[in-house]
Amino acid sequence: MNDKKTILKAENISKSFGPTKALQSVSFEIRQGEVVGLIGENGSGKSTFSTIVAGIQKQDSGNLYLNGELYQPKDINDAISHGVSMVVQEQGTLDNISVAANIFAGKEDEFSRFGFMDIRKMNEKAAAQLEELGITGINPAQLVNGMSFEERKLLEIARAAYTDPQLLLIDETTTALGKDGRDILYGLINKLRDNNKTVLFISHDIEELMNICDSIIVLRDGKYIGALSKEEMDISALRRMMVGREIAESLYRTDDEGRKSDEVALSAEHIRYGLLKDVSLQLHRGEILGIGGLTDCGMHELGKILFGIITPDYGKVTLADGSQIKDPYHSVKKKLGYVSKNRDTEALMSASSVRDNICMPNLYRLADHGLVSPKKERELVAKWQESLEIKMRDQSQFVMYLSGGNKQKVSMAKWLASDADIYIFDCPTRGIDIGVKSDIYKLMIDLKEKNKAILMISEELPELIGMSDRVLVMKDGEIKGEFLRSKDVTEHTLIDYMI
Amino acid sequence: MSEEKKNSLLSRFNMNEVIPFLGLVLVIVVFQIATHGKLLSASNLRSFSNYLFQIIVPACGYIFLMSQGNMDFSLAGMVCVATAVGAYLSQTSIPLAIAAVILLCLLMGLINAAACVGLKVNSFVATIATSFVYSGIASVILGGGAITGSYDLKLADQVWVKYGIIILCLLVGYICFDYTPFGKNCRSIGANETAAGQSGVRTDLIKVMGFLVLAFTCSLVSIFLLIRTCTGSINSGLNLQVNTMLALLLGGVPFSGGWSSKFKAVIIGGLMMAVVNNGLTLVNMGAELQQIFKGVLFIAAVALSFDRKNTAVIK
Repeated sequence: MNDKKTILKAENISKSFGPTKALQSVSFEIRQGEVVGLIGENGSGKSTFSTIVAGIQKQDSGNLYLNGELYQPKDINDAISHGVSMVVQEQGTLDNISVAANIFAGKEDEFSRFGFMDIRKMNEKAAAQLEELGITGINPAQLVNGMSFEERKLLEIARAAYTDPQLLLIDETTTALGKDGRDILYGLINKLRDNNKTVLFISHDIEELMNICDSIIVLRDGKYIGALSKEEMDISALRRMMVGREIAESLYRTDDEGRKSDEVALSAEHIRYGLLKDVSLQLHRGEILGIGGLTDCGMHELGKILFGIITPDYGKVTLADGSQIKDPYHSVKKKLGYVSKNRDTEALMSASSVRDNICMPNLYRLADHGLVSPKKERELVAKWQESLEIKMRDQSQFVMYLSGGNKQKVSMAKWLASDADIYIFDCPTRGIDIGVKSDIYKLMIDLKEKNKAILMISEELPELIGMSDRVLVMKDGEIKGEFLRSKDVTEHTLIDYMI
Repeated sequence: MSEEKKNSLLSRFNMNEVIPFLGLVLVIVVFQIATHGKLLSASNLRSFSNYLFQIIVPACGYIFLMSQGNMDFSLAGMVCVATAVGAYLSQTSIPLAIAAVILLCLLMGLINAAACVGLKVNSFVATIATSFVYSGIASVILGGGAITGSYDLKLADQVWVKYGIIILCLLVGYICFDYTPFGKNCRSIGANETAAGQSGVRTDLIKVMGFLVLAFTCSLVSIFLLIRTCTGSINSGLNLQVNTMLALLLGGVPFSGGWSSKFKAVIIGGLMMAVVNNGLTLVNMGAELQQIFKGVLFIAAVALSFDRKNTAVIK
């Protein structure tokens, strides 16, 4: 193995954002023809490192060497011309133009004749490119706008693959992908490896990396911790390296206890809206109710209906006192809380302080004679920052500068601070590393112990099985199965009802 | 603790906040020199109060709307209608005229809100449209001329009254903007309307209230104009929205709204615009040239103050 040639060498790479040291003198080597995993908790610097390699930003100090030569990409296009491409974590597609135009963005010259674009040729080529990767159901001529996040991710993968990179960087992409999408991506990765190309796969999903990578590099708090070869890979060892402390063997609940009471906190009757056909459910106090299914099974819409963000075409949602859910304002008054799946666009105000975000649903409660006391605001935020261990510079730091896990903690702190009784969490651990994940699970158990009602919508089966007292499985807008907490419920049982 | 304090002091001392202040100092110095000291002199105090009133008072209302990321381009039309009707009614009863001016402005504010919130038309487009409607109505009422009101109105034209109302508006505006849920909700809407809605902020109601608060301050401007000139004409409130928006932009409020909107922008920007308007007149710059000057200033202010950090977020 060791006789393989080194393709990328990092030497003392450092990068700071203000007082935050994202990377501290990171050095390692990646060999050609390998699939290398880069793992670390949020804020460990893995995304920072990969964006530097991809030419998106520059390091403060240190050098990169590509094939033994000093490598200083000026921008993304310069990196691509060196054979380095990246699929980014955030949405990287361009709206209002076609699928084909997205795949070939920046390479329009290849299709221009006398200054005009040969759209047909471009569409044909795009179709061929999609087919080669096994992506079906996407028409190259259609606009990107209506497409799902997953389809857009696949487009980005197609775009990166088209540049025929010698080094492909893939950043946290699989959290956005369903099973088919993942298979497409794994297919591409294997193909690149077969062609002696190199892949740097950034993720915090240990099992996924162990399955597909030849070696795994671990970063923690911006520092290089170590690298494990295929033979040395071991879940608990990796976790220890990532977190820097022992983590309980099981992330999830270990008890078999069911819900604590039969008191109904919230009930939905005969909900119809879009895809949803006649959905009814009851959420009890002291219960964690899991709702699982594929992304487009209607469960995310259901969550919004339960909180009053969407008004259903038919049916109603009622609370224990008989009042009906109307809109978020009244839901908040009735002590409901909702955390959207789309953290950055729906749950948080990015260019705003942690304090303003946490206080947003609590202003009327903090107000005395109509005036909000800044002191009370500070105290409330300090209390929940401490209890959730939110890592931030101070309360006035903008949420956009926090790591994903800490952002999620902020969006949960909003509702904890409001002392809500009913919590609707849509994908609460999406794109979050295990450290924070286990914090959030602990928090949910805590809430359950306090006899709160928790509804958790999730696309991750282990989480649904591991955390819920009861799981409802949805498919095509209908509830297809109900499972009580039991050792007999496995991922396979649920999958049969989902697909 | 001291570390944190130092940090927040440092972050408070950033360029976005310093530039408006430096701008104000610069403008005062330049015009003080250009007017040979006339600008900051006791004899100019009365004249300055007129310029200041017409900018600070509407700016106190406008900041609620602009921090939501909304705009209102119909202020001039609004004031035109209100002063025309007010001048006419003042011939019979001054209290009646004042009540009518306030109610009319609130009604027009409500119409703006209905177009923007109810019909879901972008506030820029909606209020450009209503500004045509209001100017049209004013022309019909005025019949091509001007309406002269009761000269008893003139009695209230006192410098201390104007400064008193300016200070009162600033005080009430500051408390509402910085310390009430309403003021905070306005900024939340500007920062991320979806997130605000999902956190229980009644976004539609807050937007309607934003239009109404602005409309109320416009009624104060209308009353002020009636008191000062005793007439309603098609030129009443001319350039009001541009002056007001320019003041807020120069004060550092971004067009996109959000949490970087600070109330001190009303004071800094308002003083700056009042000095510019007063100063330009003192140096005898013609109205046409003043317009060109302000147009250029407008573009520059937007370009400088537009909060790119806020809009870089994928919406």
